[in-house]
Amino acid sequence: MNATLKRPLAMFGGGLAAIGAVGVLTLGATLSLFSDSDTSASNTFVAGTVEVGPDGASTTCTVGQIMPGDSSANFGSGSGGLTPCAYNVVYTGTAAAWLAVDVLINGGTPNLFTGLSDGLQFRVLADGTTSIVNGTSFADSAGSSATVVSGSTVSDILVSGTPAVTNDTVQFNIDYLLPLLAANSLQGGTADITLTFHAVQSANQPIGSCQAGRQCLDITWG
Amino acid sequence: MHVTESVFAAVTSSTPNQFVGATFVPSIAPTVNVVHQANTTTLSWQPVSVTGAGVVSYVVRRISPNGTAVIVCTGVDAPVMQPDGEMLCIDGGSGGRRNLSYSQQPVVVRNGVATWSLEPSRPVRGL
Repeated sequence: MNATLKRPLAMFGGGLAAIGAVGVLTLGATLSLFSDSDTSASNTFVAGTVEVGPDGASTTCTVGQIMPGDSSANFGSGSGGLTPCAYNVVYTGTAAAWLAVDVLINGGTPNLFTGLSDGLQFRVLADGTTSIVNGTSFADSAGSSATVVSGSTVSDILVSGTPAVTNDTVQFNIDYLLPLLAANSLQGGTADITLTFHAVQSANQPIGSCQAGRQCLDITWG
Repeated sequence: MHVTESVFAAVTSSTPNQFVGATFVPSIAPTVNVVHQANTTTLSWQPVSVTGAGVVSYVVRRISPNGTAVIVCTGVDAPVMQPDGEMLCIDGGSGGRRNLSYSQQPVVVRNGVATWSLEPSRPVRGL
């Protein structure tokens, strides 16, 4: 019984195999197309860079035992016998950039910097021309005089109205004076001043109403 | 939709520039040693120095029992440092009165202007 049933199935199976073989041959002929391909040259995108860093010989001041009447060489009054501080920086990015500086004055107890005429005075100049801090004040975004407050950063003073390019340098000079009328309460006091130099791409960032030597709020500083 | 804008930026900071005010040594004015003679009074005290530039001068006061103070030891009678290191001056106007008290106050004078000073020393009566 089983043998009788197997034979017709085997014959039927052989027929299917033959049909399949023909089908494969036909299909293979259909898929064999002429073709070609070409690749464009690489489209390369290189981002510009914005980088800043110190530039050679800066002079960090460590002024000990300052007395009323003591001042640095270029302050314009006082003894003029002390060394000015200098902070030299270079812009090394490849993209044009706006440059700004932040100024932070901190004091101890007592604080030599009172924010008044009877405390330590600082004069910060960029490249000898652009005033950043004058005594105890700076120029806000409107050009009005504002008082430097100890412990509060004076931020984003624009260094130049022209974007910096690779290898542009800026020298910041800090001159200082402890006036003769400095109060007795300032004996043994301390203060320090730190400059933070920063750059941001000028592309797609119009200068707006910003001017060199003033706080600049129209630019996103990152 | 929230859009975060970003720009390329960089930053570098200077090393802090540090300033320290001068101080007197010692920080409390030494009391005056008062010795009365017949018509004068000899005053002496340990000197005071200042850690910064400047020379310490002394303002010497004669204080009457009613509290009136007069500055003495000025001009040619100004205090002078002795070989043993003490400051010394003679009050020739005291009349040798023993009820007078004296104090001294260290002061730094620069460009003719009295700048920093210490509180006057505690008044002391003579022997």
